[in-house]
Amino acid sequence: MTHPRLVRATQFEDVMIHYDDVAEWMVQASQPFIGWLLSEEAYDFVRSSLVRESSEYSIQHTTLLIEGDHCVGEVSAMRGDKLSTVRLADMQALLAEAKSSRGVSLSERLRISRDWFHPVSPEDFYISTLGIDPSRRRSGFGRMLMQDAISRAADEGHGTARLDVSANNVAALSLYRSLGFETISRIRIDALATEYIAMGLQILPASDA
Amino acid sequence: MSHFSKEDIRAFILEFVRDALEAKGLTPIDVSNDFDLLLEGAIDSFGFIELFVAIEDQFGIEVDVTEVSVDVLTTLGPLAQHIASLGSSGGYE
Repeated sequence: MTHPRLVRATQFEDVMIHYDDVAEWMVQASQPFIGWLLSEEAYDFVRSSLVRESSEYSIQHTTLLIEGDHCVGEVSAMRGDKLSTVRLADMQALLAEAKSSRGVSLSERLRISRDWFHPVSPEDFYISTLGIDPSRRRSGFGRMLMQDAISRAADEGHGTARLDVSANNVAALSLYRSLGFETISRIRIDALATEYIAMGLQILPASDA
Repeated sequence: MSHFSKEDIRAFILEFVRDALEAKGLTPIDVSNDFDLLLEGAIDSFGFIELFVAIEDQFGIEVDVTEVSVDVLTTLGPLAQHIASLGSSGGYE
């Protein structure tokens, strides 16, 4: 079996071949929130956002795990201040698309959900999505991708890595805990019938690690 | 339509975020034109929608949060300048 390799999506010339899969995994990693916000349009939004310059789902923030000719997983991460900016750009893009049809309900949903996620500090390294090929789960790929993201955070001098995860996502929670992430807060969201758990990991400087 | 200047818009925005500024120990006098409303935590993403609704009510112009680049939208001086320019040209249409 070919040993899987990690590659920044922007430096991978065959990246476009994998867009459909990556978008699907990002949507899965963003559930249940994204399904509640966008229902059946979630996939199209994420798929089109991969190639946008300013989006939480932009491929610029993504690292891929490639095994042979197959992409088997992705992790997307960025600085906390960048996260604020791309989430604003995503809100603009959604509202612009929704102007004609369901703009009112979308903006009502944006209002309702504005406090659902624990704040991210500008200096934090935020892990936005971790997506794995469903047929290749339990292969250690999630751990490889997360360890790469954590070492990037250390290399870039971040003191904390942050993420948010639904309490329903038992496998991801277990992985994050095993990597040392600790719960910062839990926010009960009745509309999603779940809790979102904000987690943080203190990062040792790269030179001490 | 009433006439208004960039300074009027700037003052209105600062009043809109007054509580958040005070929580950071700032007053409007402390805030420069390159102040980033988003990254400084004065306003969140959804807050820009509320701000634009408030500006429409106050100044009687149409402003669309989706038609402003993020750099302009979040920075006090450029945002005030942009909205003032809409007022002088009668809006988007």
